[in-house]
Amino acid sequence: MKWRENELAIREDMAVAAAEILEAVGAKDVSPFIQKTDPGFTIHEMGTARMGRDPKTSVLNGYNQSHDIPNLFVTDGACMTSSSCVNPSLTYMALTARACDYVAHEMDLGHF
Amino acid sequence: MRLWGAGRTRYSLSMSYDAIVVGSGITGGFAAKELTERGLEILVLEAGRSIAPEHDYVEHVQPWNLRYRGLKNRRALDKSKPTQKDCYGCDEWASKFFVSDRDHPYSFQRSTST
Repeated sequence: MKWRENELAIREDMAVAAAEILEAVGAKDVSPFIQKTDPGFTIHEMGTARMGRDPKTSVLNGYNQSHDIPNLFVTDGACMTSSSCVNPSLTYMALTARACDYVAHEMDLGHF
Repeated sequence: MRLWGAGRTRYSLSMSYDAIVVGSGITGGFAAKELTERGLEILVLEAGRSIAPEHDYVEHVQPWNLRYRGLKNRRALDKSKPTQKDCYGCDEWASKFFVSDRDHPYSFQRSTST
């Protein structure tokens, strides 16, 4: 694994965007920095089962439900194929809660 | 075949469940919570070792009450987790929850200079 051009550009943009946010709220003397790390230093496991509307180009629908196997839900980070600059754990939990709410609702309706 | 659950409750594999949760991590655990709160009968499967909250959850313990005073057993981590030991989360409180880099090795090109 290695950082490629796109990851390096994203890293650059994160620093610029963070500085812009701080300046927008009135911070003075903002000096953004970039922490250069090796892959594996901070790890957010995600990807491999993309969420999407089209079964041809995705594995899961908007409720983290498998297009192919309706009673299979993948609610971890697999549905997210790209990572932001912050921890995704709370988003995973929110996606899980939404999926579970859908499951319970569908069971109430007798669909499972 | 019988399965043993928390508190030595006996479960039979012939029981049927409304849902089966695979893995009890941050999302599996949350799925179990959400689904049981909605009244579903669920089975949680977890491959990892059993975690006893009274022994294993030590986030509240102060550094001076830890064996290595919060500086972690660096010699042991150099051997078992040479890559992950540098992660901020792999500290004396939580490093036991990280897998061994020997069993699950990383391979990457150093890019610190880029």
